[in-house]
Amino acid sequence: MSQINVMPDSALVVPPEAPHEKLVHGNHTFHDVTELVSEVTERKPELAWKICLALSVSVLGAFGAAVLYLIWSGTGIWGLQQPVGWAWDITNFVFWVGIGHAGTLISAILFLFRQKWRTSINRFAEAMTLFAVACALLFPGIHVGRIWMTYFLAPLPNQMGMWPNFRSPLLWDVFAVGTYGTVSLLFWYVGLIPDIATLRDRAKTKLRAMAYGVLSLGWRGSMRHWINYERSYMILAGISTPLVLSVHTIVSFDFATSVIPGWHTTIFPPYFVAGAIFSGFAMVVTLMVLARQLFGMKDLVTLDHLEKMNKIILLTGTLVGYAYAMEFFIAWYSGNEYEQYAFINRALGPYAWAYWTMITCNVISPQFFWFKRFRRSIPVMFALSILVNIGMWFERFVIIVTSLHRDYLPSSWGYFMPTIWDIAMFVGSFGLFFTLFLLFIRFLPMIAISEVKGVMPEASPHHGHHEGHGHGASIAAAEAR
Amino acid sequence: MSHHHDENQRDPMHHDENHEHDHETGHDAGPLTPIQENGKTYWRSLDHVAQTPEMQSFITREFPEGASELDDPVSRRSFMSLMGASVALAGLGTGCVRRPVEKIVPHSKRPEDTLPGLPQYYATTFQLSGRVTGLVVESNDGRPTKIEGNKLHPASVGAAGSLEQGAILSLYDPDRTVRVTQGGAESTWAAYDAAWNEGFGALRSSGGKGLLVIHEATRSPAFGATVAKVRETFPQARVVEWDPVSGDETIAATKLAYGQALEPVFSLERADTIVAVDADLLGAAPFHLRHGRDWAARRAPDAPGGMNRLWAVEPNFTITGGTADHRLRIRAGDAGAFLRALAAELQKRGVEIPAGIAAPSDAFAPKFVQTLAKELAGKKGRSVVAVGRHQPAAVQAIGFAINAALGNVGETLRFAPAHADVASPVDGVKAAAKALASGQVDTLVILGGNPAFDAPADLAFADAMAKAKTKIHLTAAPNETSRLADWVLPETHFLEEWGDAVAVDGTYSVVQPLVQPIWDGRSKIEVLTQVAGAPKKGYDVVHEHFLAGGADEGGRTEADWRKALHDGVHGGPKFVDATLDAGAVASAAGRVTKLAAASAGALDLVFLVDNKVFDGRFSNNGWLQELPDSMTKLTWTNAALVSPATAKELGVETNQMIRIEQGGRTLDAGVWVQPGVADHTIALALGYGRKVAGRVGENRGFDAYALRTSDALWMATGAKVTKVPGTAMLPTTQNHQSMEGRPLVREQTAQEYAANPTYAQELVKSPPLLALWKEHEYTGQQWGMTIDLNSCVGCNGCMIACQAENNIPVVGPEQVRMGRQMHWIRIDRYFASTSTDDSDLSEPEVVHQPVSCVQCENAPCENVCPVAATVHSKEGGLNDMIYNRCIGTRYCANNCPYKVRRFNFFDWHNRGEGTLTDVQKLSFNPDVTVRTRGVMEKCTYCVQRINSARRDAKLRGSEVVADGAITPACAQACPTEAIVFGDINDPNSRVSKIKAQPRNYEMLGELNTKPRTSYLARIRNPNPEMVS
Repeated sequence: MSQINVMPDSALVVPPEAPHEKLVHGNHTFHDVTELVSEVTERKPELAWKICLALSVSVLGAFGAAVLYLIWSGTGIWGLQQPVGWAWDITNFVFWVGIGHAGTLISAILFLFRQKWRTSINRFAEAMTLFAVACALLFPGIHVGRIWMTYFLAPLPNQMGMWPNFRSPLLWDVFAVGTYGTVSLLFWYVGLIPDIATLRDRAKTKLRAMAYGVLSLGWRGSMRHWINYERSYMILAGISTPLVLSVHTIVSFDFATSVIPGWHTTIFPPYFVAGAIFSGFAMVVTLMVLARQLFGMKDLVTLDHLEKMNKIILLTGTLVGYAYAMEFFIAWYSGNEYEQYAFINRALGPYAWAYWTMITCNVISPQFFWFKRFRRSIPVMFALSILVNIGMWFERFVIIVTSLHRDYLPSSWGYFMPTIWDIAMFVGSFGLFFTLFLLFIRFLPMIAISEVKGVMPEASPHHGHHEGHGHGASIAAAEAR
Repeated sequence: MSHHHDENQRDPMHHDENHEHDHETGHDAGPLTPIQENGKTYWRSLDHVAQTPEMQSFITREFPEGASELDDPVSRRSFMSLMGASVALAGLGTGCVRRPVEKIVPHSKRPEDTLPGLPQYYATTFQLSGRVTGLVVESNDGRPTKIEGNKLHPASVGAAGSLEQGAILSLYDPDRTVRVTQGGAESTWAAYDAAWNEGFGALRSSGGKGLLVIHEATRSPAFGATVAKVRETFPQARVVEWDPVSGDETIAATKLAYGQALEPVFSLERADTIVAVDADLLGAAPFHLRHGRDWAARRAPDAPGGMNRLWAVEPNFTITGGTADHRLRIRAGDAGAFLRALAAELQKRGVEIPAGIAAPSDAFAPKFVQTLAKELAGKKGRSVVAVGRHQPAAVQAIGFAINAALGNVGETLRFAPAHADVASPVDGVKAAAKALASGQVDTLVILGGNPAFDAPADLAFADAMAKAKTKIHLTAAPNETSRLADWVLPETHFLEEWGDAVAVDGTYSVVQPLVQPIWDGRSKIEVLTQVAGAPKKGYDVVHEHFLAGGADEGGRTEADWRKALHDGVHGGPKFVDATLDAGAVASAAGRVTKLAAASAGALDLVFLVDNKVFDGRFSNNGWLQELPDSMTKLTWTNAALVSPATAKELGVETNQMIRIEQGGRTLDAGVWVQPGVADHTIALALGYGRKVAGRVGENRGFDAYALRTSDALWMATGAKVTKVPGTAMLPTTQNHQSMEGRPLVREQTAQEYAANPTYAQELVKSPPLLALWKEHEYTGQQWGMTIDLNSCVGCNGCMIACQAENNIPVVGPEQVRMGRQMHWIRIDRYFASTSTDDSDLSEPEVVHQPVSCVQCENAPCENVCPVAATVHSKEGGLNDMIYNRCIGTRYCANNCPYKVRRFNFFDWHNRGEGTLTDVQKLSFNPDVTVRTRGVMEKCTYCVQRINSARRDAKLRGSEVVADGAITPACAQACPTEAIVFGDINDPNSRVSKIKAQPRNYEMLGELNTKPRTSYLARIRNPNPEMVS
């Protein structure tokens, strides 16, 4: 015990004044929190987890097989055609990128805005972000005709002096999503370091000790470590914040910079960002509701947290609804017959069913969250969050497919129908997502232990009468060993 | 047997230096037709058909049931084709050939002025059921790869149609007859020759009793002479001609009207008014390419001599009807009554119609008939009334009488002697079937054709054929007839054989081989000489017959022969004078009356000659199968075409399966609701539903021959229809038929054009257009194109030309249903209703618009490609596609407003029609990359031709390619010269001058794409009295 394990001044993490409301319920001590979170990774896996993992891995396996078949046969196994050159592939890509928004938003923006309630969910959301971005990155990778040539996208020096086309939004995507993925990974990992050290210190087997030992990068909880940690976390939060906005803005450029009616729309960047936050939060709610139930984390992830999430879902859902309406207004106001047709066709054409599915799920269903009763009802929020996810997938489908299937020349209009392989790829990507997620909650602390402690009353210097300043910190330090 | 071999083979090669220059480079820049101005009319928003529930559900149902391919897993065929291909390849060097002396070999000593890798061009002639077209064929290192028209031939005038060009693929058909078989077992020509000689003695002693020879329609003098020899050798033998689609009544009609067998030849360039009565002058008729050229010469609004006017009267919607200024739907059987009614109106206006012909009737849109009659009466000698060759002799004779009365004979209508005096095309096959059925035939020799499939159904030819003792079938590919034959003999393709042909106007031309027979084939003439008792080489027969002929030209010499080989033609047309026998016409006309009314319970059946598989012979030809029909846009199938009103009456919709019953025979077919078809008429294209055709052609569409009887070859009445369960899923390349009111095809009437010539340019207004990026420099030669919508008839010639030139793959019907066809140039076809109360499009107008890559200056595709695989070329300013850089994101295709980019979703060449065989590989154009799976492709303006011309110019020391030296394949094939290509940076080039015309406009130019291909607005020329 010769190390100086002192909790640093938590001002960087939490403002000094006591929280107005209790973010953690159940009168847990710091130790309880550590136990609650760490123990999940240490106990024997539950049957439910095993079944879920088996299922996810099977779906992932099917996904792998589908990708192999795709590479073997060509993109013709999908329902793509002329004029619909993109359909489920890019829909899935944008869908996953959108889901990947919540994590960084919660981690970075809410962090900078001192929204302390984020601490219970940020780890979870960040992990979700990473896995969603991994799923997202797969689709542009496999949707190309010649997968073995995708390295042409990278600006590699070569003897021909041949560079990628920097005017192409698709190339911007590569950089935007790549940067976002990298920064999100770093952010997540940096935040994990103190908690991994906790797991390391609690390790009972050699393997665990070594694995977590390597991953914790020699974290000892020294003051210097904490100072560096806080600084880097702050810097990464700063870097991440514009990325949250930029990545989906750039994804929207894929469409907005084109000449296709229904794509060529200046409203796309904010509309896409709002939609991404919307879908990301919905996905966090879906997963959170399940995880807190499954792993008994109801005191750490409280109904208050979920209600806050639901408020953001309501806000962004309404923003998205506004954008839908504005698209129609602009189409009419533009006086451009192709633009007008594209939107009339969306609402009334062969894909009207998809459009109205989208409207129902994205605009109508979040309106229930005006009522506190529904905001705090687990079954309602679970159902609505799933509806929102469905709706947001359809939003991308509607934008991509309904715009392409009838553009300028009626002679070249078509109708896209998915094949079994389109469906397999989409479902399969959930296999990848959930496999990664299940592994994450089993092997890493799903809730940021050190941060949650920071928002507990014990962390406040004014907390209680029997404990002096620093006492709580020393307990935390002890726990962190 | 081999006397002339050396000379034969060297001659054409020797000539080709000159030849090449004649045909390769050339496009005479004809005088530019100046353009009048005027116009205004907005394209009406139309077609409600596409919005009906049927159409919508068709669209939704159109989704493929899984992408089943045509993979032929086995190996009998692969084996045969591989074997055959190796034989073929070996044949180019040494080895396995029937008669080594006949080889066409690569040059061991290179003749002067031939260079390996440079194509050579030879003239030859294509005959298709009596339609004769002179051609020039490109050959690369001994492989014919591309068929083009022969400028010197009157039927081609340099153009080539889809069938003529598509025929080259049949040369490399992997399912061809590759060797002699006897009873299904492999055999040899030696065995066959021995067997023939064994029976020959007996035949000879009986004078040929029991010998029946059936051959396809032919216009070959040498073949005709050989038939005469057979008749001489075997006076008791029967030699009959059977051809399911050439069998027209025109010769009978001229014999009736003129007392001699003649062929009418139209000179449309001299006609101010053209009336086509059930006559597809621009499509199915012989000379259709020539008709197109002549018609187009008078089609510009300020053409010298004025703009012509075309009136079409027809039961089915043909491309002629589509280009017509006025169109009237009539039942096929009412053409005669219509002509008599027209004659009556003419008579009223002082035209001296012989007595007994006119028969007034107001059953046919009186205003139409009266206005037409008034116009014709004022156009004596400057009009023509063409009657379809399938119409009964009496009806055609009435047409001749009307032309005579109008003074058109000798002006717009001339006559040439008929090639042969065939009484009635169906009598021969009827007699043959009768002889076969009664067991009178011991030896049956069928030269080409497929009578077991296409003979009239009432003759039960297949059953009758079984009764012959020895059945010999010479055929290029196994078919329904060869399956029943004892001996199946491989027939040469026309690019492998010697022959000759006489065009409708009497012009003689030579068929000369481009390649040694790839398989072990003999030509019809060769087999027929054996039947006649003296086997001879095709070359000898044709050569000798040529030299023996020409008594009227003072004899022919060897030099004439060489010149004929070089030019492809010898001599000119042979017109004769003819005097109308008015009495005979009148007495025949008296029997022509209007039919009793048709109804939903007694429908008319009209049989059509298909513009893709023809009579069924091109069923195994992927290019032609996948070619969308000009009017229906159906591929890979035919359909029961019915008008929207009749469909409603019958309670059927597109893709519904129906059972058609006609005279106790039935056929189940899918319905296609086709605007413009006469009411109570079912139009069915012949040639589909083949049962034995090869890997591509079997079981495509519905066999209309099952309903076709010898007394009703072209039209029948009293058909009944019942619905049967099932959906046909007819593949089509265009699902939406309306232009949705968009300014894509712009058109005016001639009167509107005179008033406002720049209407088409000014139709779309846009704010000032700014480019996001720095625009490309505009120096040197910059390529561009114009497409004249006024002269495009939608014949599809350009589509096959492009497919052959650019190695474009075929994808198959399932993939077409998914919308994955690969044509680089397509012809968009839109319907418009002619009046607001014609909401169901019964009386539509139609427009055709060829669309290929327009080579945008500010190309939306270039910006979005992440790997710079499509870029602007510095020289010429083309929008280049770099196949080996493309990774296949498809972003460019999504962002292309013209939707001209085509993606290789699969390895089409090895998937669309099964694995590519070695022999099929021979058909590729070596100048164009064969694209791999996963890359995008599109029109390049035939960049290989541009580069070749540029290289030639450089070799001559010029940096500038002369105007007209480059002709893309589409422009080259176009019969109406609607497509013009050239340097748009040179104000004096032909294309620049056309672009300067007021009716030149850029489609979607308001997007600031700056397309290099622009369109010329279509000008209709309605009779002002009809418009009011």
